[in-house]
Amino acid sequence: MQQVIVLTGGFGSGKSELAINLALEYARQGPATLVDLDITNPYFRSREVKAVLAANGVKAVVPPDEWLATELPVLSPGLRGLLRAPAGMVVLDVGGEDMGAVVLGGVHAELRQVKHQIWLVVNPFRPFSQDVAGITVLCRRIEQGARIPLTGLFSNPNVGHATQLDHVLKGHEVVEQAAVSLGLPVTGLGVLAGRVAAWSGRLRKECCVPLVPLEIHLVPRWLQAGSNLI
Amino acid sequence: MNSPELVLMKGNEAIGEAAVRAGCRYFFGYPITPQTEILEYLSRRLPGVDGAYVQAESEVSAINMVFGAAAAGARVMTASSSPGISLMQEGISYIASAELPAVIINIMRGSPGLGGIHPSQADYFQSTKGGGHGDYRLVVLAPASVQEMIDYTGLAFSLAEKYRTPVIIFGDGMMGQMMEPVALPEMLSVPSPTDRPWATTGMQGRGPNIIHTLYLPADDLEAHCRQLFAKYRRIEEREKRSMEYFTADAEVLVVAYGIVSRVARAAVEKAREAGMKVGLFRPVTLWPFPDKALVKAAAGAKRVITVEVSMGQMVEDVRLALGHRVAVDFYGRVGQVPTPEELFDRLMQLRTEVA
Repeated sequence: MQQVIVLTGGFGSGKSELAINLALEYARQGPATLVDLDITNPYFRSREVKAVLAANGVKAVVPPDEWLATELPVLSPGLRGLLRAPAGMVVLDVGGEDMGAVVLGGVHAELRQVKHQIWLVVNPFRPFSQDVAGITVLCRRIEQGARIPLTGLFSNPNVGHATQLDHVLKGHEVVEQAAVSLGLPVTGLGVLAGRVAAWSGRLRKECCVPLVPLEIHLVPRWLQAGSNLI
Repeated sequence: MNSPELVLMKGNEAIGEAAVRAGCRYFFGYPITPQTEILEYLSRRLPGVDGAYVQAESEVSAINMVFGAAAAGARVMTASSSPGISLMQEGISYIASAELPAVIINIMRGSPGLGGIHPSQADYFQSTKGGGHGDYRLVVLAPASVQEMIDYTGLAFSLAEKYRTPVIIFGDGMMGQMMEPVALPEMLSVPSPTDRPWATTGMQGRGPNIIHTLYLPADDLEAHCRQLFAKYRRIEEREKRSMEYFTADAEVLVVAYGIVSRVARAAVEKAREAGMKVGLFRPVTLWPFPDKALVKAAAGAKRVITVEVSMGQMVEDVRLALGHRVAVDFYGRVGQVPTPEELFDRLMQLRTEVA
């Protein structure tokens, strides 16, 4: 299987977690590469889990070690080469919304020549993507920066550790509406891995898209717990 | 049950939104990682609520814009990170002396010098002991979650106006960047500058208001400082805040603030499961430091351990408060937030030491 999957989206859409999960899943079936193309966020980037990726057979294309803890717009060399001749599945984690999408804009010609998908990861519980209008603005801005059209939306409705089934169902509806409005398919629905068993019944019934279980890699366990210091 | 609507927000954005909802319409700042999203969020949000966002040419300029806006009666905020807050120190001294309300956000980063963009708590001395020149104090709030960053932003504005004094909120890189589910507060109405009888709002029906910090006759300066400190005493009497966890029977007490209090709580929970009588004291106001509450929480403790992302700053206030009552250890990391596992290991070591 050989394809480039590009993940774009707003801050907090969950695209880095999705990128890591997808890369790990693909690695179970064949060669897989994850490219961290985030040039705007200083923390919580897929490069931070280099060790986990390597241990599971994912080739990680990230800035060199001495530049890991920076917010500099560092792109790894070889991106163009990788796109010209992808080996197996290649996941591009493109952070930074429309500003970060200019990285794609720089390689849009190479992308168009290979089998690819470009998903906008949407979390409708994020302030600027809560409705069809907001999602549409985000979509247009990213396409403008990327100089290549999106091929689908990935639905990732969540409010972190406080996510209930209701949030997922209501949030997914918004994403479906946006997809219809934009004329794009919804390529999947992300759900916290720990909740899939309990929720899959209703989710499969009401959301007719593939469920993608997501393990959280970028947030330390103690931070996932929430805070209630009495 | 009608639970409030949740949204997922990044610490930095949440501060921006909280400020708008608290009635703040003026923000003057300068970019620096890891707080630039505060500026980006407000530059997007303020125009839509008839507010003004100005990116100053430096932090020195930004804090002086804050001085000016506050003097004219506006509800105003600025934000920066460590080195930028250093540049603001003179301005903060002026704002404190002029008795103007203002809110300042410090999303701390690796220091000293240019340091790095990693989280830090090494600006404790800077804001609790002065930082700027002269006799003044700065109210310092230390949230530990994105929800608290929202809640304390509102609190900061109300304390700033209640006492006519600058208030600083401490975040750190991790808190500025992390995403958590939050409930946003109601939108408060924007106060009118003319509601502040001391502000420079034009001389309609009154004499001139002059906002200044110059006191040439020595007696005037002394009287002014005594007045400021009478105010600071009132703040000390009424505004100390802290939280506790498992302190009732604690033989070992962990003291930590901000993001470290989250880690400490996880370590304390694990240690309790292992049968250790350990508790956590979390200062919420770093100035005024909640000394009395700390003494009470440490009443049964055989050892206290202060944990910070620094080489040890708050630990001095912990030692000052506890005096010779109990030995105070320090555990610190630089550039990284300690993990619950490493804190737990340290607690297990302590357990054998105090047994």
